[in-house]
Amino acid sequence: MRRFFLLLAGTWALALACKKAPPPAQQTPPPAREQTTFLVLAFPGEDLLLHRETREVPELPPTPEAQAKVVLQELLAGPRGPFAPVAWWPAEVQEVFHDGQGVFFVNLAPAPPSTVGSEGELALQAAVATTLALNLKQVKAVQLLFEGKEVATLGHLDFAHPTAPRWELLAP
Amino acid sequence: MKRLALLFALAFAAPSPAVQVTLPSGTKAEVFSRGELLDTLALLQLLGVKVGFSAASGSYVASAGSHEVHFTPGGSLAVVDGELVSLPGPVRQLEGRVVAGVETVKALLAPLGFRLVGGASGITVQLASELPVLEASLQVAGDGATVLLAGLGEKPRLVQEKGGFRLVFSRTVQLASVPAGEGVLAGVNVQEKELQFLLAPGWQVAGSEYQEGLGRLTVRLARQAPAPGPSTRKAGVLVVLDPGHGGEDEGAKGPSGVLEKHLTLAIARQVAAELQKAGVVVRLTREGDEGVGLADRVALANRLQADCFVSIHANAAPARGARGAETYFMSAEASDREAAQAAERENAAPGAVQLILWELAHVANLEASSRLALELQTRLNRLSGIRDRGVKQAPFAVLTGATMPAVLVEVGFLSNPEEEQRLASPAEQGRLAATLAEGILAFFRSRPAATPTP
Repeated sequence: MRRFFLLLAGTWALALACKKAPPPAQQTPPPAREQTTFLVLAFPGEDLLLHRETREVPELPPTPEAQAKVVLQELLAGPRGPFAPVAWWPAEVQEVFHDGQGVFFVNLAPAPPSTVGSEGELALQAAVATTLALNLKQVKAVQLLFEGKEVATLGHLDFAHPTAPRWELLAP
Repeated sequence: MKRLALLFALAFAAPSPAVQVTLPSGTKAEVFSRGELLDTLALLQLLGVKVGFSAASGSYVASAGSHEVHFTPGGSLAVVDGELVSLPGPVRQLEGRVVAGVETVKALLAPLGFRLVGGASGITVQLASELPVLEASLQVAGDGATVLLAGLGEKPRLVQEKGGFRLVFSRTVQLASVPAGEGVLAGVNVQEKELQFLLAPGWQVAGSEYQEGLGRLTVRLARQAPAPGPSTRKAGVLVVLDPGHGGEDEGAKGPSGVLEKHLTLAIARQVAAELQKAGVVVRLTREGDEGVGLADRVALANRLQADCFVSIHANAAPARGARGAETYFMSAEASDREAAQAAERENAAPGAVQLILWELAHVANLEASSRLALELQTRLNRLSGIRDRGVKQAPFAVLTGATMPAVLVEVGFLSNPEEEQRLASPAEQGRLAATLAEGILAFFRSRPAATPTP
């Protein structure tokens, strides 16, 4: 009989314990916070100056070429503010490479199907070179290639030589 | 496990950038490439060309048979069999290799007896043992004539000289037949690597165009305008106005269809009329709707020893609301580059003094160009409806090599619908022309007394 009471008390205690016990804590770890980085992009405005916009992107890849490609992909994706796109045609970055001395080669494709004015060409040259230099300290100048080829001119400006960042065109 | 990781890495490694090259023997090989840039030294070595390096000059020497080509990484010039030539693009150093664009590699290989066909997707190198036979013809129409040269495997260098012009090739050429003169050509001489065209009195070269795909060169000839006498030239001022674009190159197109090439010609003609009223001698780089190469435009001004060169354009930009006039002159960066190239020439060939002086004259003209730009821009700003964009510097192809004060004026934005309507109006074109003429005259008035004033 004594054993029966002991068993009953034990069962009751167990039931009470189960009732009062808090639900088991979630065992899945909290999601790891994704590493991100901020880019500064330069877009032409109607005042024909370059205006900064920032983008938060996942952590950049390790090599300068890959970093430059990510920066330019964001730039060519276009502005979010009241500014103009850098390219007047749907250009994509095919590849980026550099000569180890600060000149970054940016291969855009397709080649521009139509001409634009001096200002459009200047905005393209200046925005690409200045944006890359704003984000990558290694960039001293940028040589644009179109479909892998060096182009002497798109109608106005000289595209046959590397272009340095145009800091004087950057809006305050 | 280590081996598995290695296999995985190999399977997913980025493919080594290379282009397939078919050699004259039919053998195929791969050469490192990045975009259009080819490993030049590797290609030369595959072709059996002897390549040496001079540490003293930092230049490479490629030799085959009796021919030698000297080239320097970082430079756009080469010395071919002792003669200084300009390459289509620079030779560069990239990832420890010496690379150059396909056109530049073609130019380096041609004197060594090789012909390169193809591009970044695949290349075939042929032996250029057979002499090319060129077809020449002449077409005359009114005050103009065209010399057409077909069957070209390379772009020849056109050298204008007194009484005609020469075409200089990298190797010996033959002419199938000499075209009839028809009062335009006084004769044609074939001299190994050169074709010399003698022009009848009163004819001059007006421009040239090379069509690479067709292997064809067109040289446009025009009757010379009555030349002003030496005393007139000394006393007066000569201005070359350059109406931007022309022919197939329409330039910018406004939302309602106004074409830049028509607008620039209309304004340039009116500027010319205004200047002529003030006693200025004016030449236009094009008189009608015709295509003229960018280099030919400034070459005309250089040949005429013009006192200033004004290229007239209408702007377009992706920023649709952009408006206002802008005046540009050559960027200091581009001018520095020209000066550096001049120095490079000095090191490369002792006979390049004229070229150096030519480059230095351009650099010296920067200050005068900025003054001319300011005179024009200040007046354009005063015109109603035009916002000040100021004077800017940029590396303009059409201003490269000008040996006189040279500027490019963008009279407004055709990409802006409101400005397009304004620019299309004859009254506005007249106002712009008068303003530009006034600015040019003011520039000459403010020049030092030693130079002629209208």
